[in-house]
Amino acid sequence: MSSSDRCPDNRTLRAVACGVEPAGAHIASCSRCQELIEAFRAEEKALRDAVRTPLSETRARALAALRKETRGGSRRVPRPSGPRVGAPFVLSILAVFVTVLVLVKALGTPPPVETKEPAPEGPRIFVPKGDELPPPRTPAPESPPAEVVSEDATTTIPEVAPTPSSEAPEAPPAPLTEAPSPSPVLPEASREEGALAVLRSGPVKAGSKSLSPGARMRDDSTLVVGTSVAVVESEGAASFVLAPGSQFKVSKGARGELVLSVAKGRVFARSLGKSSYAVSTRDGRAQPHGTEFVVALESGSTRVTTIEGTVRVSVDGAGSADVRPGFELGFARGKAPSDPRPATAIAKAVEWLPASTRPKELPTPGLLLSYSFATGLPPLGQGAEWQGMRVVNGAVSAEKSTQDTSVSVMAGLEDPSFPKLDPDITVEAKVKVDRATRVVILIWDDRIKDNLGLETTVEPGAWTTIGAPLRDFKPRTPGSKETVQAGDGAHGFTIYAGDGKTLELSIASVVFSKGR
Amino acid sequence: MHLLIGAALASLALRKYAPLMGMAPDEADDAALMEDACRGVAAAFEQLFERYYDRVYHYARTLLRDEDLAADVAQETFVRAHRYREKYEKKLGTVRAWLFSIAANRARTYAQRSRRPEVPLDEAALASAESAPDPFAANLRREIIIDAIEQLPPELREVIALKYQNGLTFEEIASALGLNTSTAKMRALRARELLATRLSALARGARGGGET
Repeated sequence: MSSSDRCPDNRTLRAVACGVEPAGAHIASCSRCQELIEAFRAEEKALRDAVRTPLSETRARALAALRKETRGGSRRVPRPSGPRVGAPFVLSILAVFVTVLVLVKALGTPPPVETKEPAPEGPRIFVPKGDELPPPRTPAPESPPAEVVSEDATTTIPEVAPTPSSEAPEAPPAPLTEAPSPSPVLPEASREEGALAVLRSGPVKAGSKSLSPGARMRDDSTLVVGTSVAVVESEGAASFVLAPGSQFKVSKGARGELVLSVAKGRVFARSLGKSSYAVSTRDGRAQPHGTEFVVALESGSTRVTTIEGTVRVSVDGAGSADVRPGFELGFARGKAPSDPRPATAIAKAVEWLPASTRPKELPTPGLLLSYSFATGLPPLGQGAEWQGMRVVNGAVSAEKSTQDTSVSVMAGLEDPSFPKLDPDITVEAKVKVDRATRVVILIWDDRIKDNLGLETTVEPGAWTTIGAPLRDFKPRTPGSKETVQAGDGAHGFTIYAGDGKTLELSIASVVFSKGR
Repeated sequence: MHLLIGAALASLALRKYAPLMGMAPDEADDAALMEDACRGVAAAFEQLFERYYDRVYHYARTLLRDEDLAADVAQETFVRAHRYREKYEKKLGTVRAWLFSIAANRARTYAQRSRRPEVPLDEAALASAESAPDPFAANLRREIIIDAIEQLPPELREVIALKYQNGLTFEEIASALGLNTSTAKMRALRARELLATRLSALARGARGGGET
């Protein structure tokens, strides 16, 4: 047997199978080699199938960016004048029109009149008769009239691209120009008029009708999200990602702000920073002072998890609480909000979000100290003691101040092992007063030998969380500009209120925490 | 006569933009779409986006091993391709090779920025192992194969992504990555060998321990 009759090694056979090397005479006639080559080729199938596809959100975002670029690019690349092959749809429509004209003339009936109507909103729209349009590629029962760009019309490309709905994943998105597009996206100008929010992507139904991307949402429209997440945006206020199956509506609040009411499901809200908004549920309302948070309606309660900024949760007639980054708060209708807790499962709170909308960075909550007085005064370490407190109905009431006659009540903690201070530490106290008054949280800073204080006016009747990062605490000595520095020592805190006249101050909890 | 002209024009439009009207995407070719895109027909470029976005995304994902970065790269690829579409020349290669060359450049830039450490691959150990075909390896779960591809050195996994998952020819790969054709071939072969060895080992493990 000559060397050319010998079967080549696996490497050579794989190279042949890969098309890297040609098959020699031996391989072509050897059944064993052919079998091995077939086996090597079978590997390719596994490789071909091992493909990751992007999320529809990711693709839609890219398409939107491309369309934005295309709009800029269309200025750089002027359209040639006159008939051109590059306008096939317009030409085909013209061709059909001419054909119809000829047929009508032949039959002796008056020719149809081309209807050119001004667009109700936005740029001029030419609405052809139904038969002249190719069948719509995307079902858009509630979409506005199709935007048609004719030869002489100004090209208008929506700022926001339609996102392919998960209900119609196979439907190709509308072309940018040329074709008679059934694109449901409204022109920028028209979208803002009368719309509280705009559906950006995802399957959403109003009753039995499906909304298309770009659909405007007006006051009190009740909407249901389909089987994948939906993105709703309110111009300048916020972008909302709603979980599959969520039910919600948008409305105007008392101050004209957008209110997204969640009747079922959960929503991730990201502030756009220009105007205010809130997310409400049957249990209460979450008003952001920051940027990102999740509201999840659960059985019997609502949970707010703050990713960034601060969210004030208000329950009608029962009080409010601020939820800081990395904390979560469960609340129920008619009940005072509990103390925000570190969101131990903060990653879980956002795991339902598509990767493209998920927060890049999650806060790491650090609960340094937490004193709850629901079951009385918490035990303290050696040498530490509660001062000026008496337990009343699951909270502590501050005792009448004997130290300062201009103060009504005062209470606090003296603890020699109190941790070091830091400007990033947030101090929060949940308090209630029986008349409107100032409430002050004081921290004695050993380094500057002064009290640092935070003064807040509290309205009577409801539990209210007051607090701020220590960097916002001001020195009590007039003219002093000292602020807390990292590592400053302290020996506890004091909370006082009132002006010397009779006052009832109750304290439910005091929390020291540090965000990310 | 009018009827004939109308029908001809309509036919031309239908043929050229067949995919937009629900017909098979193969009917219009990339070069013609690119020509139209250069004339300012945005729909033509959007059709290219439709054809290649997922592939470019997957290529970037394979190279960068990060879905967010891959999304950014894929998006930038098409935005840049549109911006510089007039610089595309047919004689320099196919449209898809040109698109992937943009993607490759963007991905490399992102890879430098993100500096995600590569998992060192014990090539010597793998090279000495058996690289015979293993039919069971082909039946491993898709995720396991993807993981194995992502453990390849970047210069090998990008060839795998282009050759076997995007169907580029070796000439196109060479054009996209700035290599000569034989280097592209050698890389593909090397990648296949490493993968086969790795997957065979996994398959053997799966058969032994039921891990797959």
